[in-house]
Amino acid sequence: RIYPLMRVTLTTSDGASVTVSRQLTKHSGFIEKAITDMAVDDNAVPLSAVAVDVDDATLKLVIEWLTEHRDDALPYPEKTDEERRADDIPAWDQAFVQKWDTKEDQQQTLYAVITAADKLDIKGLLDMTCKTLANKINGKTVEEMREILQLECDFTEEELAEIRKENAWCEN
Amino acid sequence: RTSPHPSDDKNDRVFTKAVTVSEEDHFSSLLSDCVLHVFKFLDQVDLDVLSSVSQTIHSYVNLMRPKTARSQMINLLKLDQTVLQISLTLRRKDFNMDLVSMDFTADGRLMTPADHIHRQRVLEGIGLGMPSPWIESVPTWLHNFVMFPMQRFHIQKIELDNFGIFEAFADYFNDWCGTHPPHTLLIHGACGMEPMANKK
Repeated sequence: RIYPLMRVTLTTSDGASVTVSRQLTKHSGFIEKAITDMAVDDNAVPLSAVAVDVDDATLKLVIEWLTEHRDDALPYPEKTDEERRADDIPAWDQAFVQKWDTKEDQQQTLYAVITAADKLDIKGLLDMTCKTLANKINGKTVEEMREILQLECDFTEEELAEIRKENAWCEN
Repeated sequence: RTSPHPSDDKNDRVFTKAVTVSEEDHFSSLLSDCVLHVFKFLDQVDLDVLSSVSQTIHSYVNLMRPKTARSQMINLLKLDQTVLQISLTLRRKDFNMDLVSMDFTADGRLMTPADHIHRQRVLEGIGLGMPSPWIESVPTWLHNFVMFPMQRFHIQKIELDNFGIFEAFADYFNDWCGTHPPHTLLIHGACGMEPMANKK
């Protein structure tokens, strides 16, 4: 059982400390495991702070998302390949991302939150941010995808022609 | 900046240039688990496009192929065999794409006038109740040609029209529908036979 008033201190990769409710950290598989590994008393209170490999700015965004989603059901529902879809991002989440996912940011914050969600094992946040990125490239041409992801073409002309031939249906 | 060639290309393809990662490319710094998680929300048609983006992405596409959902863009596949050609049509309600019409013989060669006359005689014979001489097997070229859209699109209905020559293909689709429900297989027989519907 998680007691709402129980709190845990997290130390970030850039040396900051943040204290949050266990009601939020219960959604993080990584933090919950760390607490379980460290806890010795009946209330499962960790003896020391939990170190997370996430910087302070990113962790603040993660905590903001966790606060909104603190009452989400656990365990997180898994979906099959055919059931999975990217067009069901809740309105609050869309507005949350739009606040910081600006053109000038070049998706650096989005990548940082995706990485944080993966490291902290927060499945709902990982799904939402990955859907956001998937929606940016869904239905786009090769050139548009390169521009969005800021990737360079490192194929030769011959290699590119060969790959396009293998996937010829998408070229027309 | 450069990094080594991706080593997990399922085709063991070796590319000429080294993998290029520009200073602006923050995507390539994502953990591979994260990239693969993003790809879970794309479909097979997106993967077709992504495979031409860069070498790194190409490797991820190969990893994700078996785990990625088929596109919902198309839901009907129609294969129509006339005397002259075999045509493949893909459809979705308001969208009709006549993909390919090919003049092919039973073994995949382009038809000559002699082939055409021979096929016409065979079809007339089938219309009179004679067995097809090509009933036993499905040519590899036709199998590969048809399986491409089957692997990429969430086909729910398959129509085979005038399939006198490649009857074995109807059996093949029947088995395929049995293992990939829900699908409807509709077979219109050759030379004016009554249509046979087999809903799985």
